[in-house]
Amino acid sequence: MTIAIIFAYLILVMCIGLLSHRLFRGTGEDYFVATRTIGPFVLLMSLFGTHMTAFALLGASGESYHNGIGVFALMASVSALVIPTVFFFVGTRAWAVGKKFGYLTQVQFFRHRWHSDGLGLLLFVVLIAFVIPYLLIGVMAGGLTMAQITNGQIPEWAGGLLVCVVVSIYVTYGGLRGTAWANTFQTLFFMTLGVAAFLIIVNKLGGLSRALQTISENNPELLIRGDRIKPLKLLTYTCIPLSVGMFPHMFMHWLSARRAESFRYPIVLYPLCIAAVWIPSVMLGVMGTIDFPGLLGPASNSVLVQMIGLYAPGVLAGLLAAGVFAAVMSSLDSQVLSIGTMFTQDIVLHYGFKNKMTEKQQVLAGRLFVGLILVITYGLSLVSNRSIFKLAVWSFTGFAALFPVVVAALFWKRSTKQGAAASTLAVVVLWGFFFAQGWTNPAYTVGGTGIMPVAVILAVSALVMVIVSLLTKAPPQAVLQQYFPTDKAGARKGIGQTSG
Amino acid sequence: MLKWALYSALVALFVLHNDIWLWHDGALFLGLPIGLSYHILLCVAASVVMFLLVKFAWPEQLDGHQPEDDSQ
Repeated sequence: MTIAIIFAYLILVMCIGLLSHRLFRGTGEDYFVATRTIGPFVLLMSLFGTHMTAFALLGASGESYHNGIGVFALMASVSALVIPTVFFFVGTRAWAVGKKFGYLTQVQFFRHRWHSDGLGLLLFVVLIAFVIPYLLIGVMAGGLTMAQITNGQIPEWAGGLLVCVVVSIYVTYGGLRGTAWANTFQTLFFMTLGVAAFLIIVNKLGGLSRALQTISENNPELLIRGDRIKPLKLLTYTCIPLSVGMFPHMFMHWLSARRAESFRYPIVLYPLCIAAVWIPSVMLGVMGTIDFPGLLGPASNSVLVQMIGLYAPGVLAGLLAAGVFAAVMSSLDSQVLSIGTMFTQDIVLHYGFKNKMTEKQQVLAGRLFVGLILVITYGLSLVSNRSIFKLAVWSFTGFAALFPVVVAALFWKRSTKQGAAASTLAVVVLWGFFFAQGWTNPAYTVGGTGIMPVAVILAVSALVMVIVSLLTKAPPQAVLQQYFPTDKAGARKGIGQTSG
Repeated sequence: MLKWALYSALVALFVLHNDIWLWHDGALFLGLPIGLSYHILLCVAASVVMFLLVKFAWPEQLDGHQPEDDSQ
């Protein structure tokens, strides 16, 4: 029965994606950004569903299993502050320049803003490299969930493969509209099922008070931050959610908005949506220590699924497992679509095929690249055995450290292509260095102080951007006038002047 | 003026996020460990501040920006 429900869910999601194909207008802009017609509610659901992945369910519960309730402060409440702030200051302005110049990808924006092909190519490679670990956790989580919930009847490799196949089908046919529709459905589904799983399991444990009492007797340190999370770690984790400003898939969803006003719902409701998803994940992770003590390292990735299997067998297990799939696929779809869009727009079309390919051929090129990336990611998932939470944090670290690039592009007239390129290269070098340190020591912080590598890389990236920009020739006035127009009196009337 | 007051409120939330005074406090508040319930309330506060920001400090000239260059 459990397997039947999961398969029924997967078929339903595919149908939603395929249904949206009926509205396909046969143009590249429609496939890649739904002709910029997405309204406020679907924008909220697609942004949130895209952002919340296996990291928020399996990763958060697995990390809370080891480190307790402090995980909520590390990632959830800080994301509730940082992400809407980024949407407000960066997302709305990125949407405005995207609409003004007809951008489909962020590389197009950076390339045109600084008039540099080399910078565009560099960012293309770096962004794709950073998104691979993010894709990887989705495929890993799909395999893990399927194997756990079916007691190994369906092995991990088959579960991961199934996720890749389903996502590639509805992304291939539905494009961004299909992805947004499927994400809206899946986001509502996993939010509802997450809360349901929490209520059901807590009830089976004898109520919240009793469950907390049991934990306080056996693992009291999980109910405080204590020595497991240092204050500097909490402080520097603030940098991690800045990654949302450079995620290619989030940028793509920003561009799909019908109007700037469409951002209002996501900005206001995002903090509440984050709380709704992370409270059950963190609490169930902590409660997992009651029935499944002694899980070591990445083994805790599956604690949430194991609890579902123990306390909600049968139909409920199928539905709850489908909820995990919903969270996984609602991110994976946007990620692969954004990668396909970038390949088509930033490589195929930009480098000589613009007048040699029809729009349908452009879309086909994007689809083929999506297939290739999924094959690579699936291959990596077969050999990877890392903590989902930590793998995601490394991916987020790379994107967050690139945040000065988008800020400079939007707000700093004096920034130059050399500054942006040097900043990006500094991120690559430092990220590689710290990743190597963290590979052998998963709990690595800079010098053991609690400072996360992201804080150091971000600071260096920003510094390099400023110094190199000031040392190099300022961009031509004609270019700046496009992005920072002034009226005849010299007053700034550019994108995103604020009222009040 | 109001805009800057709201920006200040946002900065205050970032400061309040680092609740070192609750680091070792295992007391229950609203039925949950206080280290968790405090941060849940912070999420609610963030939503309120964001509501005020979009209401009173919304960036202008976003929808009305007309293209000056069709090179892309």
